[in-house]
Amino acid sequence: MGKTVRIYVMGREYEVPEGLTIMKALEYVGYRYIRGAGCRAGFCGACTTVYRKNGDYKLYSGLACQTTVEDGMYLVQIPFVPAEKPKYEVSEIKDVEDILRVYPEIARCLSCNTCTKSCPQGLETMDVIQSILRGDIKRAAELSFDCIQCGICSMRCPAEITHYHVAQLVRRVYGKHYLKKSKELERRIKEIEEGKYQEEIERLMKLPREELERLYKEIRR
Amino acid sequence: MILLGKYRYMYYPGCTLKGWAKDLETSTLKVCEILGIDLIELDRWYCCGGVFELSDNLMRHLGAVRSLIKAEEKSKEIGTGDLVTICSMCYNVLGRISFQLKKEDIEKINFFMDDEKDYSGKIRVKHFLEVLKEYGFNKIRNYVDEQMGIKVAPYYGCTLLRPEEIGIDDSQKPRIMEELLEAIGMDPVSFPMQTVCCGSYNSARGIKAVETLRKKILESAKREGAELIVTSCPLCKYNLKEAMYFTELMEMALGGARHG
Amino acid sequence: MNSVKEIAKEVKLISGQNVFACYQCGRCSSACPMTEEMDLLPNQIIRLVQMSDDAVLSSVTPWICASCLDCTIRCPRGIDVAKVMEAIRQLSIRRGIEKREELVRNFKEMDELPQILLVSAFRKYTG
Ligand code: SF4
Ligand code: SF4
Ligand code: FES
Repeated sequence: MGKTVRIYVMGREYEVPEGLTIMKALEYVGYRYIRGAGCRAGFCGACTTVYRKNGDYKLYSGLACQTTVEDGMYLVQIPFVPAEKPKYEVSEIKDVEDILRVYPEIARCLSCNTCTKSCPQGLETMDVIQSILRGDIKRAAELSFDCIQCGICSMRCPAEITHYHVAQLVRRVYGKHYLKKSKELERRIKEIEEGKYQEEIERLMKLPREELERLYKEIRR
Repeated sequence: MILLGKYRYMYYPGCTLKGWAKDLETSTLKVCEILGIDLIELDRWYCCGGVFELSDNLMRHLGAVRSLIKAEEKSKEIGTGDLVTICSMCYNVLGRISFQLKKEDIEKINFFMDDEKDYSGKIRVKHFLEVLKEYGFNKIRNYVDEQMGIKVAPYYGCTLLRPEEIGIDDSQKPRIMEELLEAIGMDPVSFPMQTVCCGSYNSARGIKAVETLRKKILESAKREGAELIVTSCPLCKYNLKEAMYFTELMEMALGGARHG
Repeated sequence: MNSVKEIAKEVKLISGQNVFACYQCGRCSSACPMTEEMDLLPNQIIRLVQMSDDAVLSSVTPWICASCLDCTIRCPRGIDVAKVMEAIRQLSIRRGIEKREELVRNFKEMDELPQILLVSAFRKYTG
């Protein structure tokens, strides 16, 4: 075995090979993921982990599948972040006033920047919330575009805001009311509705499995 | 360095001026355009918090301090340390931070905000009314071609005048809005209730006292013969229901439409 | 008795104000525009804080106070009465006595309120 590092999982010490991701290290020491893992590629946001390092007061957070273990890391996985998810009708929500009706708590933001500092995607989460507050829907949608909904921000916010739900609403609103409508998309939807692809779909539906597999490989090539 | 005119200021709009009180911002910018005053909006700014925190909870000063830090950065670029606000509440919060917050509290906040440069306290926060006074009410007179003579009652409320350390005028007998109104061809009427609170944030809960105050304030102004009430605070406007922003009146008096 | 004593001390810590300077002239209460709905007048609140009386924590007065500072600028003894009110609000929130849910649930139509109103109300009513 090459070089190893010591990590502490929920307080218990383990020695693991250097260079592993937190996720691989946990599996290495015998944990099996039944929750808190998905894509294993930094996209799904399921593998939230919080940790501290020896001799450092800062509370770090990251994705287990993307973060490499370091010597003296104290960590725990957070497989789920509880959050209230109000029902709304996107077509009825357009401005900051409407968003405040659904998520009034964003008015509690203190500009502490804790959310930004905790975001594993490096998003300017505080500015997302602050932009909404002043009605800048476009900026909020753009700043939050890469949110993977891990919810770390919402675990740490002293104002108890659920940024990832709020930001999703904002992107929906932006798409619905502000973005230019795509002509191409509309044309394609019309074609589908008019049954342009019906024949093709029916043909595919009847094909045997082997034939489908062959076709799939051909397309991939 | 951007080339700018003689009257240039950094500008902190505040959330409400970008939302509920858009008219307050558009009319102000129009007035500035006519008078040749440059308001340069900060590249980044944060919610001031609406009310100045009176307890020992320093967290609640963060948004305002952060904005002042952004202002310090910006001031190097445009060569002025003056930061202007129009909303009375933003003025009050930012003003109290820049003039009143204790040194040790600023130090604690700087220590907490490890993601920003330190705030060194160099920003002078000004209300737009003070900017107009600096510019000269007499000079403003030149832009007015019609003496409308409307009887206008200026309502100050709390946050422009209290606490006295940051008040833009005498806390009990203010004159600044009267002087401005006179300069733009109005007939200003002072009234006894003009510095009494409108009930502030208590209207969120529909407190009875807010409604009582509204009536008292409006009646007091009408008794002095006022045809119109002006304010610089969106929250006062919301609570009084029958008020106009002083900047909207200015835009009218300065012939906003003609000049633009 | 001990916990009772603490109110005066804690208010001092949170507000930095010396309530013992008050000689009950009542100028704060005569200036206050919100007394209509208060169960205790501002000068009575100060008196109760002097005596560390628990009643201040259950009074509605601090939750009606609008932080307009009309009392503060009038106090001949230099007490920032509005800060004392804030301290009492904070104290009851920190001790878990005030149920913020109730205050917040009573908010009016959120989508009609100016942002500063909502922001301020949240700051005053929640911890
Ligand atoms: S904004 Fe919040 S939920 Fe989205 S990625 Fe960042 S920390 Fe995760
Ligand atoms: S963590 Fe919460 S309070 Fe702090 S800046 Fe982010 S949204 Fe605002
Ligand atoms: S498992 Fe999907 S982001 Fe880590």
